[in-house]
Amino acid sequence: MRGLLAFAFAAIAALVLGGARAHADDTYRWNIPSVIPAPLVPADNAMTEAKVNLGRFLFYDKRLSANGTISCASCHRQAYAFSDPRVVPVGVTGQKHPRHAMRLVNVAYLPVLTWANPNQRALESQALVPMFGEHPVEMGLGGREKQMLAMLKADVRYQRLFAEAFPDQYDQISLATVTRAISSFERALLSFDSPYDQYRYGHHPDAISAAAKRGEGLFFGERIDCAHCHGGINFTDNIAHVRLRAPEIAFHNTALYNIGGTGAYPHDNRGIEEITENPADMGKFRTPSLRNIAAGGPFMHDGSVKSLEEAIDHYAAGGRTIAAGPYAGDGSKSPLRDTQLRGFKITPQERSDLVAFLQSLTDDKFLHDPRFSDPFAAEAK
Amino acid sequence: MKRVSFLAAALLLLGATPAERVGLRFAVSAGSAPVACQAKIPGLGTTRATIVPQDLRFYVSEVKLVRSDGTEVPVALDDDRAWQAKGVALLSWCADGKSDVHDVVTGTVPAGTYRGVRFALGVPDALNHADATIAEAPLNVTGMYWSWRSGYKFLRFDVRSSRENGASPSTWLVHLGSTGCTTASGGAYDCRHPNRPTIALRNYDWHANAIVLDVAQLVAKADLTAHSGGTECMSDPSDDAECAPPFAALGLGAGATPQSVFHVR
Repeated sequence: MRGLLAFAFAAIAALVLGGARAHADDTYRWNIPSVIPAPLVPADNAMTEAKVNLGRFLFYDKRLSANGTISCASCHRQAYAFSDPRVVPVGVTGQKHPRHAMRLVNVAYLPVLTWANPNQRALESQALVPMFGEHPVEMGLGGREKQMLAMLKADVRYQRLFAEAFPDQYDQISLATVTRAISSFERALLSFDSPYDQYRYGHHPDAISAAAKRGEGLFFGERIDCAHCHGGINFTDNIAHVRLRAPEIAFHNTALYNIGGTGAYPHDNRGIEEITENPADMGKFRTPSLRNIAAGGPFMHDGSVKSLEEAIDHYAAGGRTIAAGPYAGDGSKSPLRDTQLRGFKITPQERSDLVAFLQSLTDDKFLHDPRFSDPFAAEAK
Repeated sequence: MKRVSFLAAALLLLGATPAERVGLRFAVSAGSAPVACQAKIPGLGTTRATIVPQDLRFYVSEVKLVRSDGTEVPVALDDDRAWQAKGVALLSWCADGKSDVHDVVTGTVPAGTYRGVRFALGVPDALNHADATIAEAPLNVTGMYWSWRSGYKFLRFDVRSSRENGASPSTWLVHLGSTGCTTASGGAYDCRHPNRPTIALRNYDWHANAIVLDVAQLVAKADLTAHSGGTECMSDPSDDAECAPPFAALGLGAGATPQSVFHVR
């Protein structure tokens, strides 16, 4: 009876929350400190070690692209916080992506994915974009799923891994299971062991430098207030977990562009306006987490900011000025600039303190964790 | 309630209104010339470009036959788990650069005399935003996925083009689908631009006629060689230069005129 009731409640909760979303997963052992609340997972894709393990192989398998040259990991490289040091990634046909590859760090806590699409709410459906998209072509798998699935079905290792991950699934090796396993691996990419975490939650007062401690004060302080948008356990105002009443979702125009004084952004990087078609959404992008930020540059949605110092200067100026060319404009005068972005005064010393704080968010164990590394490379050795 | 619909179904089966099997044939042309995958078509658009189709597919739904008195009668589409399901049918001539022809929509209607046809070009909104990885055929065709728009491409027409005088080839793509779609909670979507035109054709007898998509009309006002890097109409309302010509031809957009792309042959 109690089981039935619990089941009915879970079913109602799943319906209310819109199908397969927002569901606590009590059976999986999340690798997180006790002070950190667990993330939510879709009701139809519970976490298991077997799925994470399968997802790791798929994430690193270049055969998941049209010409066998690109895996998820080609543009989401562990050493760079699962981002790409190139300004923008390049797909199998040589087409450049308009946006910088996002860091995949604690994505399990994100209620909305990607830089600028409020409808991308689950890793499972987001995975279809790089796999099958033509705008731009990334992995180039459109129309080639049969060959990809045939390859997986013919591979003895994958036969075993899929059987372990999806033992009760009727169609065991399918697009549905491939995307669910990759998503499970991505949800396992958790980083809560930076020097700053050890300092703040682990009670190790010497885990970060004096400069980083001063930078912490500036980051959270009223004058500079980076934490206004980059706050909370994941250093972003986009967050969902088991202890939140409702997910928090936010997109901001940070005045990187003000083409023609209208607040316009370059045509291929207009922010969520491209999806919502609401002119007020021009230039609004999702706030990224700052965890492992120092390992994941260049910065901003288009990779147009090369260093953390440059990023701080941009916010201090309250907008970027581009003197000439097709994107010319003074961002600080953008009519669409976020109201929180007002600029601030900062000394060179303060700026380097702030950088020291941001560097203290780099979790070296995460960047080198063998559980997240390329399993094919490990075999080749 | 269930019993009532069962009764209605039983009455139908018992011959109150006998059902008739129908097959609606579709075709593609460029003016009077045939269209085939990877086969050159000369003289299209404002610059008389020669094109080579790489992809030509579209979905239809809400298919109805029209009686002489104007009454619209829904066609109950067959559910063949390949080309048709849940009232949606995929028609195909060229898929991912390879010939893949499927040009008929089958179903049943009450027996009668029909003189016209109506259908929506696209996937109904209720099916357009669901999980594509577990959708039934024909909604599981990855070439028609439009995942960055959380939906499907309703019409896909991809070509390589070149001027007849030999300028270097470029690509020209039309991907028609719903845009401006938002969802408050991950549930139902609301789209500013559904981009799902209703096509209504008269003097149509399914026994004798075909429904023809004329690509020459679709691109009549477009310059298929405008950009060396390729031109894309991704149904984005701000891509006016690329989308205005095909959208106007489909009867979409501001100050829309009747569609000119489909006709009866």
